[in-house]
Amino acid sequence: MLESFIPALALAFSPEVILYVAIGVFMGITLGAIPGLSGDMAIAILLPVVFFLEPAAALGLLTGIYKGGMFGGSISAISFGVPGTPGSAATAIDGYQAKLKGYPNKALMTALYSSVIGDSTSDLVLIFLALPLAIVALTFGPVEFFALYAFSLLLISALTKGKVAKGVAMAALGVLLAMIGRDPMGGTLRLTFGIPELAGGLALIPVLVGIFAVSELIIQLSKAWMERASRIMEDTRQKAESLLGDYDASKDKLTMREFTATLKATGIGTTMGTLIGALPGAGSSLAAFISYGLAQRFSRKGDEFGKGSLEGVAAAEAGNSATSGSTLIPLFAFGIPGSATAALFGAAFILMGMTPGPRLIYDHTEVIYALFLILIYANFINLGLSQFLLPFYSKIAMIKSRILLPIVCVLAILGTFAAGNSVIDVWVLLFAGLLGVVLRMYNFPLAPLILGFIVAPGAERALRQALLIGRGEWTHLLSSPIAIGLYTVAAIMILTFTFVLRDKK
Amino acid sequence: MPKPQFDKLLTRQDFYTGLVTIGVGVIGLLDIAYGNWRPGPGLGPHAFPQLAYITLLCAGAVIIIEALFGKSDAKPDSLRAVLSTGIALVAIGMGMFWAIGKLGFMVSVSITLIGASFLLTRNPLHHWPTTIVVPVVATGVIWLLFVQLINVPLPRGMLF
Amino acid sequence: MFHTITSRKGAAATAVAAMMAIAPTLGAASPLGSDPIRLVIPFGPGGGSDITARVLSATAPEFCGPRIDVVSMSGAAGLEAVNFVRNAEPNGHTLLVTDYGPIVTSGFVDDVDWSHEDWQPIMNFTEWLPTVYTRPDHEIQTIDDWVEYATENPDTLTFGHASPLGLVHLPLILFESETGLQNIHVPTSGGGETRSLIMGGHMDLGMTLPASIAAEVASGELTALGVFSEERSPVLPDTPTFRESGYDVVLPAWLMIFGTSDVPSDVVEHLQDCFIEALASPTAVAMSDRVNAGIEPLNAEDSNTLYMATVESIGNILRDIGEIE
Repeated sequence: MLESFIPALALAFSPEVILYVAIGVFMGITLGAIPGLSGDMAIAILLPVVFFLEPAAALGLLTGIYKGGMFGGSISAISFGVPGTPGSAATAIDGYQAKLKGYPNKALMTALYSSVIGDSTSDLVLIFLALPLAIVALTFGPVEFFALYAFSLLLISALTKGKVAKGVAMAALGVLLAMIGRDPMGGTLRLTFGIPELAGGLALIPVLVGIFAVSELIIQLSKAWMERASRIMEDTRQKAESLLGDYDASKDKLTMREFTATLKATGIGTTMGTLIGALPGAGSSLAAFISYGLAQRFSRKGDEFGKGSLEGVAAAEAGNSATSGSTLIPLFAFGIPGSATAALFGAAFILMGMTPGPRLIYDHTEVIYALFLILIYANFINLGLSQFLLPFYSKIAMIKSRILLPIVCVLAILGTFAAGNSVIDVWVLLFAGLLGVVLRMYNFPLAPLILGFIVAPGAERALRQALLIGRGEWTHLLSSPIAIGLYTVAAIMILTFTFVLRDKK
Repeated sequence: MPKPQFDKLLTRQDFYTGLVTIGVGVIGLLDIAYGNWRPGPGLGPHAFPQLAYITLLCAGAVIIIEALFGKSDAKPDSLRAVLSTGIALVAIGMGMFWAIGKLGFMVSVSITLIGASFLLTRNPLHHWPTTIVVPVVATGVIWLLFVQLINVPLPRGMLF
Repeated sequence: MFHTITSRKGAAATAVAAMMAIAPTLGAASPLGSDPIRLVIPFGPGGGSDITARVLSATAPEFCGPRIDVVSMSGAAGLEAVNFVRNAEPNGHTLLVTDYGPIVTSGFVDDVDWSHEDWQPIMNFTEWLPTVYTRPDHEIQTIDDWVEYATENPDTLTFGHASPLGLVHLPLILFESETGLQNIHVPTSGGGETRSLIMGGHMDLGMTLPASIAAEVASGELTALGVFSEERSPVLPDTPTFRESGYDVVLPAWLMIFGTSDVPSDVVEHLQDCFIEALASPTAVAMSDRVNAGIEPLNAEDSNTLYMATVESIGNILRDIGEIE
């Protein structure tokens, strides 16, 4: 193996490959920052390019885009409260509050560092622990997946801050939105209200960008439109004004102490992100929300979550980014693409004449070693380039809202259209925005809705598959030690939380 | 232990929020009981929606009970203003999309952006660099990104 | 081995330039304008149809004239792509690349405003042969094992098959109605999930297309039981067909390029000729081999025969199981 390491080193660090990685990271950050557009989409567009590039250069380009896109989404999440990618929705919760409180730079830096830490760890896990983790991932069948999804729905209580009833209602609404369209198990239509365009269901990007981003944009637009400000808005308005007026850049620098204070949250995010990323089908937004919920529970300052906590930013962003390496584990170990990103990397391998799977590393040792090296050093390019670019992007965020808001709206609409080439997605985006506004006005928390929406399809599939395989016996759901373990942890968590809550009262 | 305040219940915002939540759950459950739901493998397609409706019903009840004990969010302020902005955005967004197919990308997007800046700016002609120049430049950048680089299959218009 | 094609890299095919894909020079005597041709696929990017279509989009421009874009529209379960092509101007610039699911099956079961006759095939890329597989340590290792076990223990074997009534489900239905066997059908979210459930021991059998398991079958990590086709699959030469084992169940899935039926015949002919010519070029052959696409193009007429035959056989199956009248 070692004899292929030296050529791999030369390959990975050739100036050409480094340049492609840098181009990729730059494109990823920029596209990721536009709501609706994500690294995945850029990779899909660039797939044909791999026909014409050396494998190492092509993989460098794609890796760069992917990593840049992961972080880029959090730039707009923090700057405008408008998540640029699905994975950064959880980052928006605290990141945007931090910006309103006058420390956007601290939040952005926290996001960047936790993103790079999570990503690097996940890459190391991919390189050194791919096989054992993949074997663990394979033990996850329908029974175990259902337990995992049930467990993650429990975290709703953590995402609601004392509004549990409203949070649970929102999760149920998220589940219902996810049920729209063709029943994936039986093929019949449900909840489409006779609209044939809804047969394919609601896509994640329009719902997520609509609920979180468009609703935020609408509220900010109405604020810009009317000088008469309401109670909530006056609040944010004053903050925004004070930010523009007395924003003191010299005070808005992340100190070493603040950074170390977020490390626990980053650790939780990294662990959860890496584990959830390795499971086929779970995804980065789920990892981000679960990390956020857990970090809040384990934080000493859990009360500050949702009010601009840097720990919240760190947990969400680390959880989101830590899926990036481990999502490739099932692909490398068994040739199973576990996520949209992994499927695109799989397609890129196929286009280069390399079959994804366990043989990959033996048949193409040099290229794969080079890819491993690229995965690691791309993080540092991401770190450097982002630190260089952030001041410019922050300046964009400071442009007067009356000019910037319409542009962001147009970008969100076109970006969402581009993600699925679908006019229906634009409709869904705008109506989800309206729904989001109504829910915000009546103080319903939005995060549980998204969690319900993300979890429901997988949970339903897993439950129904488990019952089919178990011939309708509900006891089959308890047939696996992993599932029993997850349910036990969940039960313990509920008990602790209720007692902790009772103590506080 | 606070006492239930029946007399104030009708003044609490969350009493109505809870009622709407329960209403959605009830309508959904009625739909499942009497609507046209076909059976499917493993529990059928109605099982998960049914669970969600029951959850809504219970959550709505809890919201009302909490309101009874004085825990309620305040009425939303300037709801009408925000909602009308929202509806305007939906209309403008769809209008822009429709216009791209008729007039072309550059014309539709720049008109939308200029129009929006005029709506949001006092004395827009006085601020022409930000209300006219910036939107036109932004349209150019957006066109480069979406039409030239990403090659989005937008409908083509008569102009450009 | 992957340097055969990358020699063109020298031509400064930087990322951005390749993205811009500046329109190449027009081919001679083309009835097409200079606008790009869009190959619309009703699936997400990265799958087999996407990769196969990209082989064509990378090689055909110099034969056909305009540049060729692959556009993925997976909305409304693929029907959005179908409607997009249906509503586009019938000038041969907007074409649908699809297997039979979104066009034949949907034409029967979905509420659509077109019929099967509203489409004309321009070319067929390839035929995919649905293959039944399992893990190597499972007690069922051959078609006969399966039939024997399922006869003795009806309704106990779990069979993963992606979406219901899809390419890798209808053959199972057909096989069961021919043999009277009963298995538990477990829908999954796709080939990847089916495979991980089988490898993890959660399910007994599954169905997929050969290219996705060829490497694992060769290295002994998966066992392919049989193929629902007339002849063996070139990438699975040791796997028998069901017909060889005495079960006359054949339901291959094709990947065709369609235009609407009102595309003028000279345009269809031009496209058919230049596509086939492009796919015969050394670059395309090398690419096709590299991605295991097994491209063996059929012209418009032969594709139409195949299309009509599929419409009939899928119609029969769906009527059999009471899905349509």
